[in-house]
Amino acid sequence: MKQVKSRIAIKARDLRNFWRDFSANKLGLVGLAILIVFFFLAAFSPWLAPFEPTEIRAGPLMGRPSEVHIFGTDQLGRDIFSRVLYGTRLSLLVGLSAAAIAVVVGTLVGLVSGYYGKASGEALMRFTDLFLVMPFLPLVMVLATLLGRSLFIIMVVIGITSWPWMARVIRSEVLSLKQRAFVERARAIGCSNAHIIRKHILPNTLPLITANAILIIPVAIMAEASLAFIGLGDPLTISWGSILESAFTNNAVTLGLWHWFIPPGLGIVFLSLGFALVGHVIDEVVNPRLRKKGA
Amino acid sequence: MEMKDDVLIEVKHLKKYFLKSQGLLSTLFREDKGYIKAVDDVGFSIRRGEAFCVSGESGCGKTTLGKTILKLIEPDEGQIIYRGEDIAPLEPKEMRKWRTKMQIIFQDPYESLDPRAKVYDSISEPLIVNRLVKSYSETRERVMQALELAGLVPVENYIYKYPHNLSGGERQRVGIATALALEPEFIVADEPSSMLDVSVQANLLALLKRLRKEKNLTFLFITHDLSVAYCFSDRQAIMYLGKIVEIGPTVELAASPIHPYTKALISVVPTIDRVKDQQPIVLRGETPNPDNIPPGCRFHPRCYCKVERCSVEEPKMVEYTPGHYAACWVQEEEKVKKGNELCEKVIL
Amino acid sequence: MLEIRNLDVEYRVPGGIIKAVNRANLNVAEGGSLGLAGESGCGKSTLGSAIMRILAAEGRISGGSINFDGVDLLGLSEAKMREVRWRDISMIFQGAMNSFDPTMTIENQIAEAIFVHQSSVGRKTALERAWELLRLCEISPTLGKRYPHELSGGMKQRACIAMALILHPRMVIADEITTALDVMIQAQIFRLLRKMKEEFKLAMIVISHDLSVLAENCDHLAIMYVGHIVETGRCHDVLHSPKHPYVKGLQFCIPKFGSNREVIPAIKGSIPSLLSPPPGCPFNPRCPIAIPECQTVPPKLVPIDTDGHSVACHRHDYEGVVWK
Repeated sequence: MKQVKSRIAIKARDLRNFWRDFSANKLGLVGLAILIVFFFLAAFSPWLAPFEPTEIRAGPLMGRPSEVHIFGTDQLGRDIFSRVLYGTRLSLLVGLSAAAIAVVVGTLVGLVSGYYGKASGEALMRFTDLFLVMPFLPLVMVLATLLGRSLFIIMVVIGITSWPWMARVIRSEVLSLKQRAFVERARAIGCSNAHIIRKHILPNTLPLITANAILIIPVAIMAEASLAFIGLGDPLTISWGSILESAFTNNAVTLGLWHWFIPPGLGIVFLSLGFALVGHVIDEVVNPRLRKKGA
Repeated sequence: MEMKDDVLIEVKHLKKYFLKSQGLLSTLFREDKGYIKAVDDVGFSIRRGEAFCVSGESGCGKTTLGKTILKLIEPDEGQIIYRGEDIAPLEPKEMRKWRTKMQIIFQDPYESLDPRAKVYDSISEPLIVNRLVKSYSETRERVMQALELAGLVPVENYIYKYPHNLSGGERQRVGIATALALEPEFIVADEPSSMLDVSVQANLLALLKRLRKEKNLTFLFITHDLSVAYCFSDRQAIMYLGKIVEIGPTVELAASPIHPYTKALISVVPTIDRVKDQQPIVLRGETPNPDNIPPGCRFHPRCYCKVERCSVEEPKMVEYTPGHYAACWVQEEEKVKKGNELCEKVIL
Repeated sequence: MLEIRNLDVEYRVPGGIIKAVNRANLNVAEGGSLGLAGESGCGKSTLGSAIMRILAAEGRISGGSINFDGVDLLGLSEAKMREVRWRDISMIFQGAMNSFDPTMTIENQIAEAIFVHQSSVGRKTALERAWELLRLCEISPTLGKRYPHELSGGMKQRACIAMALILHPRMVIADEITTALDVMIQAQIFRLLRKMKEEFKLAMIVISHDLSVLAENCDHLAIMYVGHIVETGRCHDVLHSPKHPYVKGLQFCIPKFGSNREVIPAIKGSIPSLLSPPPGCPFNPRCPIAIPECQTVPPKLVPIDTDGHSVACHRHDYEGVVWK
């Protein structure tokens, strides 16, 4: 078992090294801090929220900010602060799930089309291009009309419109990896294609996948917010987009009810920023090592 | 499986052509102009335990030849007879059992190791993939043996390192250890030391020599460096534009080269001890592109002693002294002339 | 013509500061040719770049003097140095990729040096001079209209030589110019270089890791190890009667074509990292005849005869067999 222990020790050391490089960039730490705050808020919203987010007439209708209602109340008297808190959960949920779909499908397509080039690879890429040019909004509208407006539909739609980008990125990386001498070596020692993809190609693309996955999340969050904003969101759920939607339909801007639309807006901005910063710093840390050659 | 004269591997009429353009139209109409004739009708044999060297300048096809023999590149025509069996037509799946016998050492120590695999993983992989080990302890045992054979001692210092923690020479040794782990008989070494410093190169070559003796390994050594070829190999083949122009015992080839190209190459190899009265033959121009091969003898546009026939007909390989062959019309005539003179002398 | 005294060059790297060149002392005579040799990390390319003062941003000349024809190049302002560059001393780089702008034609790039240094010269004259030089370098002037990527490796290197000679400098530094080229093209390039040296009465510094190439093309040789010059002198003296243990060891390591087929890995161990060089003599950990002094006092380059043969070794007069 001595070997197992040392392998864990090596992994631990690798993680420490990664953390050292990551934390060297202050921006990454800022992003991480932001994310930690939001995850905390999302996790503990039931305890942090002063009111039930769906409680009608918890306060005055369209009330201004007060000690009780920090962000005031909306057109049905619901506490906006509580709604914003609960909205964090949804935005994170949708963002992460949609990104997960995009990553899984995109990586699979990218790996297969990159490694098994020529005919099948080209065919897959044309298929990918089809999804790439598919217009986001009309697709969602059509699907929402056909299948009803649900959270699940939103997640799926965002996922299938984001994966092509991932597939292209992964595919080009795989294409270049395929040419490298160590892949040739793997073939020379008798490895099957599946083994090579699993043991050599995938681990070497993992850093790229991770960095890009994290960058897809803010895209997904924005997408959900936009959808909810134009009224295509799930009416049964609270999201920042839906808060913004009700704010605008109730003329919050003209009435100067900044407490209604600014908090959810800032929420979207900062959460996206958090992921974007972390994603960019990870990319920076990971890529030079990918390309690192000399000792 | 019979082996005549202890020949381990024999290559006959081996060809590998690459399509020049990838467009749809040229694939449909396979015209001759669209080919890069990387390996064009190459034949030779290597005896067991021999160090056979293929030399030439870049673009001559030596690396393609090495990889084709190992079926890392599929040959278009010809035979590769290994231990009496022709492996050229074998499918990749069928090749797998042969792969344990024939291995490769790559040129670039910085590229030929998976940057995310530790040394242990790289060396154990061939054993695991070919199901040669049953337990973890057996794997570890063999990995350590391979590291020791490759001179990476103390083993504990290397076993869990990543390639980027190692120097160029050390990485090459890991590559050698990976190849040795399978206990092969035949190794293709593709310019293994050309990217290393002089002192490191010396170490590597000494290691390969020692391994050859201890394990009775057979080598196909590919290099553009004629000095290294001179010091390492028993027999040598000189390639030019996809064909072998001369082949013979290394020392004899260096001392009395026959083909004009070989003569020129050997005369320009820089050496510390050059005897001043040997005039280097510096050829004009550069090796033409492999997709634009001259008719007749491929070398004739740059040749300094050609005749009419050279631009029309491709010369055949002719034996000059036992084991020493060359393909050149002018030399052939010389040989015939000398032969006739000798005959006359005898008769007289 | 060129006198380098106690030159120090430092580089700032993520791990700290490395001394790429340590107290280098070199001479190049008028019309002479010096070969600068060594393995990875020895500092030869850095030394070449330092003479032209074109070190990378992380590099810095931290001491010593470079005297060219009586002028200390290190004391010159950047503006004055720019005049010296290319007009008096020019450089031929490794891998013509480093020398050529892919978006300019060959003739324009060669002529560019004229425009920069002699702005009074008309464009047509400058181009004519470029063609003249291309012809001298055995390139047809019509190829001048081509772009760098259209030329083969050998042609590009020749064009580099033409570019380096356009202002008729007095000295040329050739940094690993044939490392990526085949042996026949290497022979062509060096033959051309020797011809140009004769034609233009040049002094040359040829930087290469290949001692055989230097043996054939230079009269003097300087061998570097981990930033130190360990031995200098006439080629023949250094290669056939070396006095430094490292150079003695190298002799065994070099494959010698046409003679003894033995390549003996005499020198054990590996080249130390520049981030933590050994104290005293950099070669001491690998030296079979090292004495305690070698580990503390860095040896100075001292002449051992009147012909310019100098060694930096405390035990240079050791008579016995160094490498078994």
